[in-house]
Amino acid sequence: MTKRLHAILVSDLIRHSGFVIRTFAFLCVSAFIGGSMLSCDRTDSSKKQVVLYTSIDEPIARPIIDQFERQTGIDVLIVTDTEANKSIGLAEKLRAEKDRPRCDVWWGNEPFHTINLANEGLFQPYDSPSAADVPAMYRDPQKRWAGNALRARVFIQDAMRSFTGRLEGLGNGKGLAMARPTLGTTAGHVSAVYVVWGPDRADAFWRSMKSGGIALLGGNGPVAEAVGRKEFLYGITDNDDGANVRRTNPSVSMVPATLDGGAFMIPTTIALVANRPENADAKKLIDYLLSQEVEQKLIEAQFAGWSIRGGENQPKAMQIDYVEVARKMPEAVRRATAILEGREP
Amino acid sequence: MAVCFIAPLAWVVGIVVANPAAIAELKLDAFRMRLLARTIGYNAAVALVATVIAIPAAVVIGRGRGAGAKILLVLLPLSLLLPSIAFEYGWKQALRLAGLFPSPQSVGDISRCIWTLAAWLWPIPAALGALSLRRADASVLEQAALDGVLNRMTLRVLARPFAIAAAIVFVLASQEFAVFEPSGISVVATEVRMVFETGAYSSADNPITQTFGAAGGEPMGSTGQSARAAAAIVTAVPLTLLTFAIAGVVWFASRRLAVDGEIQIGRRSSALRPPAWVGWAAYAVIGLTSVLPIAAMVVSLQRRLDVTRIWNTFSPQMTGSLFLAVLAMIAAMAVSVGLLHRRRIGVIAMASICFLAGGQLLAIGLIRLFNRDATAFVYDTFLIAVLAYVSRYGWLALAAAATTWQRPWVSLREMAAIDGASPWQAVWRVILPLAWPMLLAAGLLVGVLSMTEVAATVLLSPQNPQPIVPMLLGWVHLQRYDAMIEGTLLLSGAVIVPAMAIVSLVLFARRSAVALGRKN
Repeated sequence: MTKRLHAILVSDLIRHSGFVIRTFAFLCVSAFIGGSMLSCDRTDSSKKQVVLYTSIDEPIARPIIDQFERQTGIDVLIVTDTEANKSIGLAEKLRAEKDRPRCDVWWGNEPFHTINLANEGLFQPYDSPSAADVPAMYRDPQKRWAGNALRARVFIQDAMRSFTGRLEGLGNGKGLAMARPTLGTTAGHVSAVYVVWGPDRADAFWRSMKSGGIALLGGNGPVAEAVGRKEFLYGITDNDDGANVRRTNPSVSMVPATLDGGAFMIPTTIALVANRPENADAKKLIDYLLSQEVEQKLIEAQFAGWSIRGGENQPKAMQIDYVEVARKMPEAVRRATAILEGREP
Repeated sequence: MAVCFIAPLAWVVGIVVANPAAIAELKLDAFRMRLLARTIGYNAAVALVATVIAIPAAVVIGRGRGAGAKILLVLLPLSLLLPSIAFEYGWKQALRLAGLFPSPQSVGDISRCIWTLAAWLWPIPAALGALSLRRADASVLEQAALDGVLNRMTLRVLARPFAIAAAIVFVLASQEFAVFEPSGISVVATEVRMVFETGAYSSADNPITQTFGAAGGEPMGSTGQSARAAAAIVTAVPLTLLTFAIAGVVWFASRRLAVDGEIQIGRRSSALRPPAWVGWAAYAVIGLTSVLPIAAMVVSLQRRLDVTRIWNTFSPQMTGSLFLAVLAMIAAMAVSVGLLHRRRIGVIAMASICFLAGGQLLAIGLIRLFNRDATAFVYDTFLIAVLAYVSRYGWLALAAAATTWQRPWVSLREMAAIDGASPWQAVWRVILPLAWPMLLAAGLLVGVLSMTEVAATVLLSPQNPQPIVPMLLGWVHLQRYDAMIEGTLLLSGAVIVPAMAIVSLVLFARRSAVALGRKN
């Protein structure tokens, strides 16, 4: 192609493409500026926003937070994690951000990680007026965290399982299922066993479970679903997971898993994160999350089973030191996991 | 480019070097062998299934002409660009509606995961196979048709591109954890995430983290993010090395494929057109793999599909995802423009290595690099997410820019130089006006992939703005949840428009390039 033809071609293309390029550039810049404004709108310090890290199931937490936002006009950014990582993943995120925390309020679905985080200095004291009627067993004496609404560890079974079905289940190793002890509330339950019984009796117990063919699944939800599908006779899980399965399979029944004469109760726990700028809105959120109104919502949603403040049909709670349970949790989980997974030397 | 492609990788290596205990774990013991074998086995099965179901579409697009092939040509990339979450949750709903509930980690559950990934990635072998058939010499195929061995010849032509595509599918599948994690199935991707985020292990006998939190009285995971990061990277090393080896083989094989011939467009003998049943089979695959999971989600909804309500519910997160996607697109295009000026093979190589390393390792490197006071302006803002997306997918934009260093673009550059244009003038006045459709398509592709990216997004968990993917991952374990379905459908819908724009731009760019080649 000659130089002249090339020049004609190129100039012709430029004449038509120049407008397109300029328009595209304008659109890109507009998108960038518009998007930046969208983003800056959320990071604007004058706009009230509270960042909440929560391991409460998101379908449960979101309506509660939405109500708070409507009532107060305060924007709450909910940060959660996947089911597999929920409790410990968020705790580790908080630890990783210790020097420059991005979270204002912590709302855990159990007290053990909360206690450990408080002992590491990640929470600051806040005496919420909503926690005034919370029993001492369920709040920190240094006011770094407080509990609201109680769940419990439960045994679940499919009551309509036939007699022969039960014999088959016992015979083929499908008798009992539990979540892997490294996860969430199961870790706390395992640790409570060691606290109450001591290491020798607890080890013997887990060895008997192992020899009996206990199955370890990926979470409390899968345990409940497996029992609901009649894959296992019994399961150890949380009451909210059992309630979820009962919605589709009403024949599933559950009773509190008692230890030392009482049910192992698990409060949700709320704390104010330390090393953050003073944020009155964060304290308002904490007051709200610790309120009886929220506790009632959690019970109505069948996430929690009972009020932390006592009431009717309350199972007898096991009297246990949650701080001791949290302190012994790592070692207890390591020992129990090694036994249940057949890695014990 | 250094921040996007070199810094994260360098920091990943630095993390391991700075943790001698992790270096000691660089060995193939029994656990690692089983983990690697499991991962290779599952993802090889994904590659095999994806390749097999891609055959009809490859034949229809490769040998066929007319509306049927063209429609398939458009549907193929749309299917690939749908988010993996849509396939994961959609197939879960489809099985639930069929009354099938595979036990977690059972053979049935593993098969579900394999099928889900294959249903997502099969367009890759279909596209490469079709491309190869279109490059094939039409006269050879016509002679084969006359000899009655057209099908055998077709399979011979498809063999090499299918092998390459299977390798690509294997690599992409091995980087996904969202499909396996809800069931507790242990593969390298799930182990890496569990080790980094929790310090615990998801499979029964992972010795890597048995030393974590074991000492009496120490809180679980208190060994710190640095040690966990090193352990997570070490967990991924064997598979990463295998991935690089596969990528090397694919690269050499694809270079041979690229010089086999030009794509032939225009009329071909009707004898080469596949029989009608092949066309129906191709459309059946599209329906089975893409339409069925979407339809299953729609049918599973227990409340009315109200677009206004869905948008009001998810608009903060959806706009967050769109914002990050647009920024990633602009950043990728800006980086690619730099490549228009000067050919830099090394940059493309680094970008490719970043992609092969996977989103999780990149995110770990970026978190460890920027989670400090001096770089809070990156870690606490949208910048870290954009960096992650450009690191992972920037190679697409760079590859598009790299094509302008091939024939016939080189001739244009030479002509411009003869006319006295400087390199930048040649770029702005000659190359860019002609290459913009291709670059824009690549940029849009980076944006779309960023919007649906899972691995890095979940680890980074951006807050300003907050994207939609982490929210959906928090619900994916639920058996049936309306909000999960609605959010997934919204994300899928948001992908369709830019995906169609990408297809249009690619077709336009292809025609322009062919016309340019003819003029030269």
